[in-house]
Amino acid sequence: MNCQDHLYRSEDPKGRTRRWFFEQCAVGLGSIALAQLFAEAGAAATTAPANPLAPKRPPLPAKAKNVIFLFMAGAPSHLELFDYKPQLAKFDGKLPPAELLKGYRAAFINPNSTLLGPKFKFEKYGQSGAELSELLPHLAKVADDIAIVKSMVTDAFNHAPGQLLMNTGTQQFGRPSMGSWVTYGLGNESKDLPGFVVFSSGKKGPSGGNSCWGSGFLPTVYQGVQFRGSGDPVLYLSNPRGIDSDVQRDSLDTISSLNQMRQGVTGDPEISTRINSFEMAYRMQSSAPELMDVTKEPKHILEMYGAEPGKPSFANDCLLARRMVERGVRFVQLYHEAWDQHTNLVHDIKENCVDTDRACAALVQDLKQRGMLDDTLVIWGGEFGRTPMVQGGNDGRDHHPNAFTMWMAGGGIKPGITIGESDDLGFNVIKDKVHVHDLHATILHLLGFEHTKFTYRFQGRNFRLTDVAGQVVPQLLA
Amino acid sequence: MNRFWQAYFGIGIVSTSEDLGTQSEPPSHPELLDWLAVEFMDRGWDMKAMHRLIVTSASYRQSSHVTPEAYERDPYNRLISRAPRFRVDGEIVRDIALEASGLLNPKVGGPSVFPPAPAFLFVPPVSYAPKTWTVSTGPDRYRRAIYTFRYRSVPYPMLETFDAPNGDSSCVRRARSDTPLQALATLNDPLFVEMARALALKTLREGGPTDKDRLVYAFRRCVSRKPTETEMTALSNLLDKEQQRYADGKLNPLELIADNPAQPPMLPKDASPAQAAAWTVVSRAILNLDETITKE
Repeated sequence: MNCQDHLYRSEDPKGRTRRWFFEQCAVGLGSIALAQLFAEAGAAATTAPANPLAPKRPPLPAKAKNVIFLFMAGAPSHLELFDYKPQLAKFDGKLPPAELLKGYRAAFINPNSTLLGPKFKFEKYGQSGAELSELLPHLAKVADDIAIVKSMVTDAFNHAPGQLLMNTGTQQFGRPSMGSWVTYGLGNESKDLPGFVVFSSGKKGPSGGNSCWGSGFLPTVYQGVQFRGSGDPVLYLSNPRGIDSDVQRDSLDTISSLNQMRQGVTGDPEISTRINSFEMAYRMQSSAPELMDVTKEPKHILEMYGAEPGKPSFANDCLLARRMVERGVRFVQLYHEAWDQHTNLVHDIKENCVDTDRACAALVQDLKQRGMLDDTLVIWGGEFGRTPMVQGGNDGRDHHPNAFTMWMAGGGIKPGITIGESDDLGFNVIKDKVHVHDLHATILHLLGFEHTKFTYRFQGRNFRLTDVAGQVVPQLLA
Repeated sequence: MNRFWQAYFGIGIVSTSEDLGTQSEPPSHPELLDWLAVEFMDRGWDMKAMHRLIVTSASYRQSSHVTPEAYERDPYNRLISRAPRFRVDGEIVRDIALEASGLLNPKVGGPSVFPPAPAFLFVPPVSYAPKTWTVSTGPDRYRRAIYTFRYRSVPYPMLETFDAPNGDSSCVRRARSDTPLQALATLNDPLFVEMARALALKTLREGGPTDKDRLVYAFRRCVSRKPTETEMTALSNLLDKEQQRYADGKLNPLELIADNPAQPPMLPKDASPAQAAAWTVVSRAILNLDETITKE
């Protein structure tokens, strides 16, 4: 775990094995581009201690530079939000066809439960005619800017494994998360903020815990750093009581001068890195509060998001995500764990949409009006969908991996399209199936990586985000 | 033997210590690795003998000084042209400060302990469910870092920042990063502030009659050597400047030296709160030196 192979790779030609030759020399242009990536890292390493977060060019031309992932943890119901099923309404209260349930496992319910018709009205919006629920009036306004994928499928039907699969490409913990892969591959443009930032809003944290943004076997500098909407945004950012910025400055000056003296004695250039880290920490002490201070945003922007300064919310986090990407943060992930409606579906999903719909749409609009949507990829979605069958009396749905909906915008995604289709009951995908691995392959493609070549060697084999699966979804590309 | 070597030199003879074989990185010194393996058998599988052999070797006893030319030719010291110099593991970063400040509780074994950690990490919306973290107030507060209770889903933040793995997968080799978040932890984490206070009071009590004696005392407790004249000057300038600042009333010294300024700690005889605060600032600076958390 946490190997630093990338620092030592591609240095000694004698170290080339026969296996290396077959692996690396038979794969054409992609490997040359990749070799270039490593050569750059290698060249940097010989002149100075490599900064593992230095910005790097991706091996292939990229459309997206940054990613904002709006993770709707708990799994929102596709049947109430995106995937309108008149047949499901018609068969409300009836049992599903037996052949549909063959081999199907549900998390909690007996799969042989009656069907539950959609609870909300749908309409078509925008030039693209995207069909959306009445719960999403704001998203409807940006319908022509987003691509809706109605044919997502996953392998997991419980939250933690589902979230880990969506974030790390596998249901077991221990693999690097998407944000870690991306910061490992592209570095960070920001000098005084982390490259991979995580926010959490809603009722609780994601069930997958820290492993959702863990770095797995990649070096820990690539793991997500949790920011908070209130108090110190980063742990230990504030000076201790009784120490003001003057004392802090004097202390840092003394520490730096003593460190410099020691560098003179030992000659170790790593000491410069330490001096830089302390200076960056000092800068972060002013830049992070500045970043978090949304009071300086104009009123119409705050209203657009529905953000209220000083009150932690998903809306504030969306606005902060934009501010972070503006400052060069590579990957921002917002968790809103609130969508697990086994019961009280109507009331709770309505509430969730009130909490999130305006801000999600505002983020897309705001990025667009600033010209940032072209190279910022926005992703919205949860870990799976919900059953067409009822749970909890007549007002709830269980976990459902066979079909669910996500949407994406910007960063090279074709705007104003809806792809994929589920069957008449919203149970199985029948057209243009997109597995989580395919989604990952597509995201990496947009960022300039061929997902099969973007690997990290660990315990004797090359690992990738998509493991041994995944295909880019061409319909999604602009 | 490769792992022994890695522990002492920071990097194994085969750098990929989790992966040793035909697909691993080739050894930098294959004969040495073979010889160590055979020697280990010949010495009756005696681990202590092997530790002794390595630490008494000419390679290990070199100076860690490096010239720019040597650094350019051997940036990662794979040729063992000098002694290793690297930042210690996260647990030891904390233990060094505990030991230097005199707070360390050396007790061995027993159940895991709950040192101070930010409470918000253990409740929603950061945690999925509320978790118990009752901060130890007694001697368990200052146990070695390896006794810290670990939730895999909420890793202990200071250790996580210093590259301790979260336990999701097995790890025989850690990254060794150097980040601003680490600087913030050792500067501002309340536990580190407690340690700076403790070192300050210990220095005032036991460090000798003059400021010079005391600086030598505090410095030696952190880096095991006496400060040079220039280092001494830098530290005593900081001491004087901050003592003046606290004495002038620009800042309330009690806020720094006590959690509750209404209940200040017992100060050594003749010591003023401003003096204790200034010594806390100086102790904090020494605890934050690169050398303090570096094996060299």
